[in-house]
Amino acid sequence: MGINKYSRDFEAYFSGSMSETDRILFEGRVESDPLLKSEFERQNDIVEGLKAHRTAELKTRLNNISVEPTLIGTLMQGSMMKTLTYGVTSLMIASGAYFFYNKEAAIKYHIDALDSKNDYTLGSQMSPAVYGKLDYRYEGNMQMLDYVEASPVLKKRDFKEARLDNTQNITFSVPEVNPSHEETFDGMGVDINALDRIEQVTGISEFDKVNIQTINSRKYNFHYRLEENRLFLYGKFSESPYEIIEISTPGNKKLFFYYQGDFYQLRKNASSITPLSKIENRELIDELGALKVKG
Amino acid sequence: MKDHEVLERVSRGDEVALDYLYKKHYKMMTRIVLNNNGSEDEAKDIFQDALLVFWQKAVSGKLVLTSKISTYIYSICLNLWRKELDRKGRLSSEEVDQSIYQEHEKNEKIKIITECINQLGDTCRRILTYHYFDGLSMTDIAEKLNFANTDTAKTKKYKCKKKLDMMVKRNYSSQDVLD
Repeated sequence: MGINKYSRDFEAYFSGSMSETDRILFEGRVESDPLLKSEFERQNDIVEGLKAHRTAELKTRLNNISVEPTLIGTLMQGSMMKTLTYGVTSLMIASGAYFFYNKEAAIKYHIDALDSKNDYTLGSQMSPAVYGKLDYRYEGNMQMLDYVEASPVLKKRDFKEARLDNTQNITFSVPEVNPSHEETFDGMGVDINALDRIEQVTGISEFDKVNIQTINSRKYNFHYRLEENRLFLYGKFSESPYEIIEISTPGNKKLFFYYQGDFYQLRKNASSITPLSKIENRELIDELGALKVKG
Repeated sequence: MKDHEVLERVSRGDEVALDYLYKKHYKMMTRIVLNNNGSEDEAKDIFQDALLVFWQKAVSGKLVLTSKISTYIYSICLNLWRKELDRKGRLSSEEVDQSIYQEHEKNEKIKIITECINQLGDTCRRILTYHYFDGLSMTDIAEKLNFANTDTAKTKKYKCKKKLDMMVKRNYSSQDVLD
């Protein structure tokens, strides 16, 4: 019956109502009495059991609450996944920084991508309607201009009905004439009267087809690139019709671009992306205008 | 629900308020563990433990809140997870074996006691768990369990505890756990 006299102490101790001093004294007594210690341990087990029972009950309640697992938690379950995520992120940052600071590399990368796409589309004889699906930045606006062999008769204008939009293209073949207007551009001026002498020109070699491609770019909005009979136009050129005017002389060929009332010169050596420069020379503009009208 | 309202409800032992806190802070609290090499299960466990610490303190009236509830629970989560990481880091393979053995022995005892608690009946079980875990006063228990008064709650609690003691004593003797 000796243990029963401690029942109040046990209750006070385990319910936390015992003062700090009494607590220390009680623990000392427990340590010195094996029988009391045995009862103390049993009481401790009971209280711990009750606490564990209530904890389990509350945790079960909480577990039944529907909480969506966090995305980060799902992804970060494994250390491999974590390492992989860090690796991919680092790689993306590094390549982004490289292209941001090295514009040449970025342009080259862009051009290479376009070349590959272009080779593929030309090689596969794909329908133009499908081109647009190859690259989200590309808008199908591609035309093949047929450059005819020069003949004694001037072909006035070669209308190519655009299959995808109303873009018009004109091809002129004119004889070589002495440049009468030396301008800032390195192209050749053409006398309007030269049109009458075209019949005298013979034997101009057949030209390759020029592949014109418009590219919607965030960076370049009124640029072009000319490479191996391929003309890349950067900007929203599909919004209104444009014309390509070619002036061919034996062994030489000059290209001009007409868009929304202005003429632009297309330099043959523009293998990098070049801004379209407007022709300001009034006489040349008049001549090109006359060619355009007559053509 | 505002903090003081939540705290007031938790202090009364309103478990719905606990559900509310769990749902509200789940993502924020589990992120502590997830961002520090923990799994989703560990994160959930730590958050639940932290919430129960808050619950016990609030229900027993020992909580003096000087910050937002979320800040308080966040700091508990941090401490619990640090302790867990520390425990994981400290345990050598030998210590793990010893710990597993001790854990097993403890679990065996808890299993016996849990069986006894389950045989007690709902009222006894609730009185004792409210008293020893939640730290509810006899007045609150009387109110929560619709007893006539505090004395009834006290008497019932005394009888229930005695009953449990006897059951555990009997089970301990029969299964020779104490030896």
